Amino acid sequence: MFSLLWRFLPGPAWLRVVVLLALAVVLVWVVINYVYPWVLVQFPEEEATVGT
Amino acid sequence: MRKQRRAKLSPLTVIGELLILGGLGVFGYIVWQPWHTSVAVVEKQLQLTTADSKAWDEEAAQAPYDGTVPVPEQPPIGEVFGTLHVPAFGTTFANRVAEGTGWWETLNYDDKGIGHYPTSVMPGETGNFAVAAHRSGGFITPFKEIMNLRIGDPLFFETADGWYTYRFRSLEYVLPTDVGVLNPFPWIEGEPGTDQILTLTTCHPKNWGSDERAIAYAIFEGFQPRSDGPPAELAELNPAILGGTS
Repeated sequence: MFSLLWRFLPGPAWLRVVVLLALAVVLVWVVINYVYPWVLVQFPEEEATVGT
Repeated sequence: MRKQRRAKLSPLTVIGELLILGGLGVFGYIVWQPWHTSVAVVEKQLQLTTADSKAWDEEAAQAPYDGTVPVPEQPPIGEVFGTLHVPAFGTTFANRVAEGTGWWETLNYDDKGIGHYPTSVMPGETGNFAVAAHRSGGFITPFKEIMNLRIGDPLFFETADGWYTYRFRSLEYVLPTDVGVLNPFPWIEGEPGTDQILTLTTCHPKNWGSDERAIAYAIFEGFQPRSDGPPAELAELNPAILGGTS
């Protein structure tokens, strides 16, 4: 899978590394802003009140 | 040569690489969640409460202080009506307080976080001013450090009118069904007496479910009108407050 991605990208090795790093940054941004907040809501929530 | 390598890409390789990605994702969540609640959300609350304070400063000039302790009007569910400052939770700790204790009324929103029990009194009234907030979880955890409170620690509740100072007295662990902690005088039935009490309720144990509740009590000590600025004790414990509100 990683090897396919490497072969799919054009250009010299350093350019592929730069593109892959940029992709990783975008992926992390998406995960932090959309995926993790969604995961958060899936967890059972904790009670903080008495009598509920 | 290249053709040979392509042929070697087995399903096992793909599965392994996916597992690596998944593992990194889970690890990232473990790092992200504490960062989110204890850095990002805390910072957001600090900015919100500072802005609230500024807005209240501007409207305060109209009404001169008459010497009595004002009682805020009980707002509708979900409405923010004050800020709780607790230096024991962190030097600059400030968190908004809104009406209602539902998860999706106040407790789970990172722009609210602390909820006031609608059945309890408002600050300035005789009886029990009770609030709830999360202690663990990933939304917003204002009462995470509730066990840092020591006898005599001050808690300040700021409203449009001014500052109510409470002094921490005791902490106890109870069962979720023990609604006696919300009585006008906690646990006592009948005559409420003359004490003004601030009760904080949150979950226990920290980061490990919510089978029990941690309850902290503080006693009302005094009121300072907004025109006099933040209480000297708060300014001493949290010098940054002077920059934000004066």
